[in-house]
Amino acid sequence: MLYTVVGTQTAAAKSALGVTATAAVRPRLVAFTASNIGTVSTDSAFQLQLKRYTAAGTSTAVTPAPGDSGDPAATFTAGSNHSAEPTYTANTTFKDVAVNPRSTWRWAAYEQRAELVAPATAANGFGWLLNALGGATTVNVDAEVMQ
Amino acid sequence: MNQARGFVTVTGPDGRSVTRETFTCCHCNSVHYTPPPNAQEVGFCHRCFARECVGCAKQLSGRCAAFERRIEAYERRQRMLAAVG
Repeated sequence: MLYTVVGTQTAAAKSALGVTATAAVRPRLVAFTASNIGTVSTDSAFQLQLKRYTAAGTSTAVTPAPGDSGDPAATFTAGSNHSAEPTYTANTTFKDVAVNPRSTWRWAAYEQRAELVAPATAANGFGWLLNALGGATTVNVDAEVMQ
Repeated sequence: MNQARGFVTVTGPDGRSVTRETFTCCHCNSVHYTPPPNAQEVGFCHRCFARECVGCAKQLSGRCAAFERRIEAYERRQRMLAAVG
């Protein structure tokens, strides 16, 4: 089943969105979009890093929205606008991109083998770390996650 | 070669977009841009029959450490650690 989760962040270096597994499911990242909300201060790119973590940190809970309204609630959890950072694992950066705040950046998997997978282990998952704010105001990350 | 593909689309402020194809490494699950057709292949695992990234190609030098097996091993270890407290 496919779910959508959205996170935002206004400060670096803080995470915009985190998707956390449980021992019951492996969340699979199918696609995500990064963009900026609000007036751009300078044409300086924001830097977003997608990484694995082993502890979820502290964030505002986000309820994953099912693609089909008949689907049950998601087993994985998600959080936005982290105030305490997840414990990121070194050398697990899936993606490290600099995005012009006037543009949008989207990655999507064509097929299942291209999806990014988090282990079915409690508190493990992947997070989008806003490493540099650049000229952005509020960085918005919209992710589609399969479980 | 048509396995584990994805794409990146960057849409600029003028509304024009650029799309590039990506692949997901069969060993570490990271995402990389697919090399152009006439460029040298970055790495290829014949057991997974899929592309691997430069880092895995160097580190594993021909051995296969399929991501699915690695994640299963990680989950087993975490379950064991949780069980022993």
